[in-house]
Amino acid sequence: MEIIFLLMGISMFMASCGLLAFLWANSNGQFDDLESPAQQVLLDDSQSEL
Amino acid sequence: MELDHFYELVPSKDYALHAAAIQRADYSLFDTEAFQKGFAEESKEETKQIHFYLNDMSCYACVWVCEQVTKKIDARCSLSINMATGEASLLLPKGAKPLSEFVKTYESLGYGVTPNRSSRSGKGSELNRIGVAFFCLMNVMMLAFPEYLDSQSLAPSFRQVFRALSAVLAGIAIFYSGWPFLKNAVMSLKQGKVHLDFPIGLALLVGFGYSLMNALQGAAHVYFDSMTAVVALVLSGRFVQTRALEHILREQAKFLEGDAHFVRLETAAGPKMVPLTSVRMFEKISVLPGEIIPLKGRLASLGADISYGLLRGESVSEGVNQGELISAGAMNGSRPLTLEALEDGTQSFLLHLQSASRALYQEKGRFLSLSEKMARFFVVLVLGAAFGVGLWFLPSNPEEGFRRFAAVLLVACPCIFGFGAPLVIARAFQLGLKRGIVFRSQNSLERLSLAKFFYFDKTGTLTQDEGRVKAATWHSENLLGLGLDKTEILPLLRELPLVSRHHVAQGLGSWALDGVPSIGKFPIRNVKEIFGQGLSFEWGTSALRIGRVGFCFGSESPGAANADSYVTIDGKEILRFQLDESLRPEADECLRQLVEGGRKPLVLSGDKKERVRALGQALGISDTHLFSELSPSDKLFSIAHKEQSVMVGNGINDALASSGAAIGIALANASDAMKEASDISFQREGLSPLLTAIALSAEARKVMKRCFALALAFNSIAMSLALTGLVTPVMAAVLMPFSSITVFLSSQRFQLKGIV
Amino acid sequence: MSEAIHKGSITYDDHTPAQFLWATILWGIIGMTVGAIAALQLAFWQANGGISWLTFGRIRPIHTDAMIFAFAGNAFFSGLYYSIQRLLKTRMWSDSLSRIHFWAWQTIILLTALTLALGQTQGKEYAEMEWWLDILIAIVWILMTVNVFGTIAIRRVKHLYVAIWFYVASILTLAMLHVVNNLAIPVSASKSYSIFAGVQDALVQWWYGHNAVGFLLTTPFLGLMYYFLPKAVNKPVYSYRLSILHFWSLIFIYIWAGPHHLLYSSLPEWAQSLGMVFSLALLAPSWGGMINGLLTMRGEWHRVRTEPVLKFFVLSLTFYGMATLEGSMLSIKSFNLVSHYTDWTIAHVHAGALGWVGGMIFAMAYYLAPRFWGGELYSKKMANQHFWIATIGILLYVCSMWAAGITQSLMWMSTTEDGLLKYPQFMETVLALKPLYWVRLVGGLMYLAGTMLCFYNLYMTRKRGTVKTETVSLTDGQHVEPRTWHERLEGHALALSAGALVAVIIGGLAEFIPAMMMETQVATLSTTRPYTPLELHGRDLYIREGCYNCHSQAVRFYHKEELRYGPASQASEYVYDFPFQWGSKRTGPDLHRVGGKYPNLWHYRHMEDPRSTSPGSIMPAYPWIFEAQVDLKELAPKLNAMVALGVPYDPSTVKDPVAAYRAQADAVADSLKKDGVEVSADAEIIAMIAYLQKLGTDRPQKKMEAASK
Repeated sequence: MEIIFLLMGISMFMASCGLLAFLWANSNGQFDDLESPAQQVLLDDSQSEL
Repeated sequence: MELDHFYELVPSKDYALHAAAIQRADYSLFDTEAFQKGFAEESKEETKQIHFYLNDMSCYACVWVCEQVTKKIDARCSLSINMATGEASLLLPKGAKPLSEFVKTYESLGYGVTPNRSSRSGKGSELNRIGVAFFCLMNVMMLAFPEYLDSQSLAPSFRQVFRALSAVLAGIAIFYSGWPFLKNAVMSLKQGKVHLDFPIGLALLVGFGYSLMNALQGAAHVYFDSMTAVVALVLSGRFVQTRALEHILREQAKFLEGDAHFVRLETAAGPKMVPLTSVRMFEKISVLPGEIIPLKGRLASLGADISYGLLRGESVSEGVNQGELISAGAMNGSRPLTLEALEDGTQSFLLHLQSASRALYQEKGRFLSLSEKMARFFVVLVLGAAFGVGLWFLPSNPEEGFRRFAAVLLVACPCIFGFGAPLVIARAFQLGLKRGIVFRSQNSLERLSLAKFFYFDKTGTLTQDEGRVKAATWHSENLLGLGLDKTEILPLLRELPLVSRHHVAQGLGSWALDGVPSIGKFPIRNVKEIFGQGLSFEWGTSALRIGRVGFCFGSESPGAANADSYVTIDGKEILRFQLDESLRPEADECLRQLVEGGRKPLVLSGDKKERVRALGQALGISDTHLFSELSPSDKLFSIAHKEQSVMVGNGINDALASSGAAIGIALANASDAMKEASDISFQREGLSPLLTAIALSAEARKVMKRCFALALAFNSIAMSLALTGLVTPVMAAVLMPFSSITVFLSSQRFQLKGIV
Repeated sequence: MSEAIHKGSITYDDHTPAQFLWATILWGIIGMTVGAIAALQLAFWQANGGISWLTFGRIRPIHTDAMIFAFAGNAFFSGLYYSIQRLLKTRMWSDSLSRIHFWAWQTIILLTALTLALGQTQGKEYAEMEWWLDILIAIVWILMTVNVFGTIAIRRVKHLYVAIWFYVASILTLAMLHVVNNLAIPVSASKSYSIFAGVQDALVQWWYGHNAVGFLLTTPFLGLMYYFLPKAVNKPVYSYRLSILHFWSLIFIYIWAGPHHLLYSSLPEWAQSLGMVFSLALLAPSWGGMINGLLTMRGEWHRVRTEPVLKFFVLSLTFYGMATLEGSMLSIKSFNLVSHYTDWTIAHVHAGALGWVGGMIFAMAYYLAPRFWGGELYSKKMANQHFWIATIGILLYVCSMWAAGITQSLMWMSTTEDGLLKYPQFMETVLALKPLYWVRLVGGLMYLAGTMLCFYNLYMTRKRGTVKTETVSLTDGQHVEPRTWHERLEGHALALSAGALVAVIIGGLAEFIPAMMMETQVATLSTTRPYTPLELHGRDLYIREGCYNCHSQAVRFYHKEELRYGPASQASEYVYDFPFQWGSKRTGPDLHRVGGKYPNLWHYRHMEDPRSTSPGSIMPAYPWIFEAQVDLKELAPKLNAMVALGVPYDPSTVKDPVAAYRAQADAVADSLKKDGVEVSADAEIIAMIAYLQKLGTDRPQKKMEAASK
């Protein structure tokens, strides 16, 4: 069952990538505003000037 | 096209709100260097970053509009808005249009601007700690399961590797994510105060060392997973609480303008905004309608209409003639005035009042909160038990003693305190906010329901700001003669508050509001407010006057002595009415319920004795509980039983008392100074939020006690098992999430019966 | 500089997503047709027409791979290319990479179908493509990843919408899974051996198999849902916070649910339990997504009556909720005991694939068609008809397979009062399912018909419309805030500490693995004999014909199963199985203890005409393996590969594998000759018989088992 080490290692590696992504997202301010993105999506069709 | 489309998106929101443009008298304040201090920063070379709140952002269309108009004003500038918090930041390169122009535009669209002076540093690190803690938790659990579930089939070599990895991960969780606990534990040790983080920090360190030792020796009892879980859960609980508090503070900040200390100095080159403290005696300043007179002075312009309502609690406005004295704290009623300062800005009574109440507020005896009390009890209990059992075994079997010492510390899960109480408080804050109540501190929430003495200010608190129109009678003959109908006049009256701040206009406006639809703008021209008398304006070809007899009909008119007011068209009476100070409609019911709950309402007023007494009679408050003609400091000294007292008010003159009482409450119409000095402020008009707040406070205490009881039950069982050495890692692993979930569910169960 | 960004416009590349959409529907029709042929063969075995490349064992992988990589894969790419440009307000980073991706991907699918039909397979489910195709896939995947990250890098919006997080997580995880699971040693252009063997290979395979389902059929489609559903109902997603939360919890939990495919096998108990626990935990974030989707539709339910797009969204989310609940339940050991190896698994998979994935794809197709080609959808009525046909089709399919699965499982497990099997003949349990197989075929054909309607509808929409390119003028005020130097440093410090953690883990593993390998390798060597060259070749034929699609090679630790097939399989018996052949479905009986059970002649007759030995059998005949002669030149490279993988062959065997082969083959041919059958010793059937007779004959003795423990 040595293979479990490899799989666990890979799983932990991927989870670490996930963690890094999470830390990046936080430092980049991705979690600052969790309200407007949901609405912003709806506004991506051709915009008209004000 | 997109905008229409957006208004469809969230139909429940009332977009009519935005139609009402916000107008300040003067925007030049925003360009003042001294005023910008604290919310404008040089972010890059030659670029200023301005932080402020944009209020009433209800959907992304608002964000989009504001961003677009920013570009329209100056293409080099850009605005970014955080819709979730209402925080906005504007990048102004050097040479761009002045800030006031942007602010004016946003406000004309209906989005109020409030400078954001709070610090913006270090906000992401908490989330980082939580992310790391959960990452470690998932992986440690993955590594711990094999040992729990099937330790026989797990080869020893596997176990070693799993444990080594667990140790690394738990170490990261404890020393990175759990750093705040360790830091606080050391602090509490240094200060000699019992802090909840002390046993948490101690348990983490002891547990980690103990598990590491056992792991190295290949012995049983490795607790890496439960310690990681404690860190992750307690951190999440605190995070939720901090976020709720931040949210509350933001809401509060949005309503505190913070521009009271700037005045418009008359200079040879025109008016200029300067800090109040830089004004010298005999300099001239101008004050716009609705602004507060910042310092004592002599009226330099022709005449003015001022009100001492906020300062003294008097409800009537009075006329002042050129050369007469005006005290600081009065509100300018109807038109711009010029004032010759009779004191230096630094001497201003207003500043003194504010700094005194601020000092008092900060000094306010830090009451021990309920959760702190419970936590102390718990900490002493756990530490006592742990050391007790350790010492008991010390002479005979020191190793066993240490094992049990560690087991007790670990098993006595502090989640309930670290996790439960914050959740209760966060939930209560959230419920309060939904109902227009902003609790500024945990203490105010916990203690409100314990208070026995409720001191109320009179003017603006128990009574309404504007005069109430009563005994109104239409003069139907004259109406007929003019070919008019009252249905044509009512909508006109309804619009009056928009064109004049005069209290007659305000009173008539709200009187006419009932059942009359808004027709839109009326062509009203030449509005004139004549101090101490009333107002006149032109409507179409007719001239209207509203005010006392003498003003409306000239002094020789019949019955000049009567107290009635009139509305006349071209000198012909069409409506006669009386203007009276009015009790808030809900005041009676509110006080009755307070009394029913065993609480005592009292009135502290700066107003005349007779008026206060009349009010007391109307509300059924005995004369011994009425205090009148009080100065702000008198109000403070009138408050007895400070620890159980609540001061409810709205004016500047209530700020001192509010800071002095155990809990100060500012109504929605309160002045900035009062809001700043209060522990709770209402965002909804009137007194009814008071009852809700009390009910919420009582419920929060109840829920917290329930959590505490649960925690105590769980911990007593777990600890007694640990003391006898019976607890196994599997049991701890099963019990811990179970207890956390129970506490979580229990903390969210608010019985909101009676909380409207 | 900022002037240039803020003025001007973006023209989105809608050609690529449109191409991928066509590919989705076309491959969907092809893949479903192949599926229907396979389903027909289960009810009517003659349907293969006696053609080798049309038999069930070869076309079932074509069907599954086509549905996963061509139907779902192309749909993901279509939605990805369409939405990511709009979410990031930029055109794709490189149009040429988009084009390469499209054409290379279609080529790979075509080559996969052809090679699989020819029997060139790795023999691992959903990863059947041979090594060179795997490398091609990896290259194309990397090119796509570069393109996607390039696009993210040049985005004009600061915030990355949750859909993009789902896309990126899917892309990266799949890359990792694909590479690890397909690690193999090539022998020739058409043959390779997995570097993992037996139980280890099984664990890797189902770690891959489960996560491939997760990261190709779940997370990308959740991403698509988070984009297309709000667009279609014109409302923001119900709770954006929830979407973020359930994304991160899904990421941390999904990866460890794999072992639930191997319950009751010789996988260590604790690894099975781990898989079970994580599979159950997975339900929470899964339902988080479903609830978020359904609540996004609040207030729009009346539109479902008329709008086919919304109908398909509802269908999709409903089946998603149902399938995830079912999946979590099936990972519980007692449920799994009943469902595993039966048609229940097939029902579960199709509820997910036809309901959740199919529903999402058709919703997306009907949403996109008018946007690609202007105007309206050709016929809303037809789309609504498609919805009803598809829904009834799924229900027929899933219900019949549920019934089949439960029926068969109960029959397998029934015993008489004496403790004997009530249905000792496996055949009885097969024949009971035949009517249900017909119902399933009808359900499948209905779904196929619906897909064809969809194709016609899209075709007519395209014909009537004109290709529209969407150009967006740039007026957005979004900008990326400049960060101060200390904020940058802070970010780096965190990255560094996390990087250090990764390094520690990898370093630790690198240190431990070799030691572990040495330790256990020795323990297993003594119990099991490696395959002889003849048996090895027979095994390769077994894989080529896709026998594992219908026959398992793992007797579970469950007494009724041991009663039927023989002693439960032990991990040590598989150490030379590169790759493992445990299978996942018993259309026919388990074969792990078949070695020595029947004489050689029985196998000969059975392969020639299964019904001559097992009346009523639905297994096809394999006339071509009687005619084909073995190419003995292949033996040497195969044995060298085995040696490289650590199989302890006799040096003499490796030196002259042909001699060893001949000796054993002659013996088999002789024994057949004695029974009156004349056959060349070089015929493929000889190798096949030798392999089947070797199966399960190396069972470790009780004493040795005890000793090894």
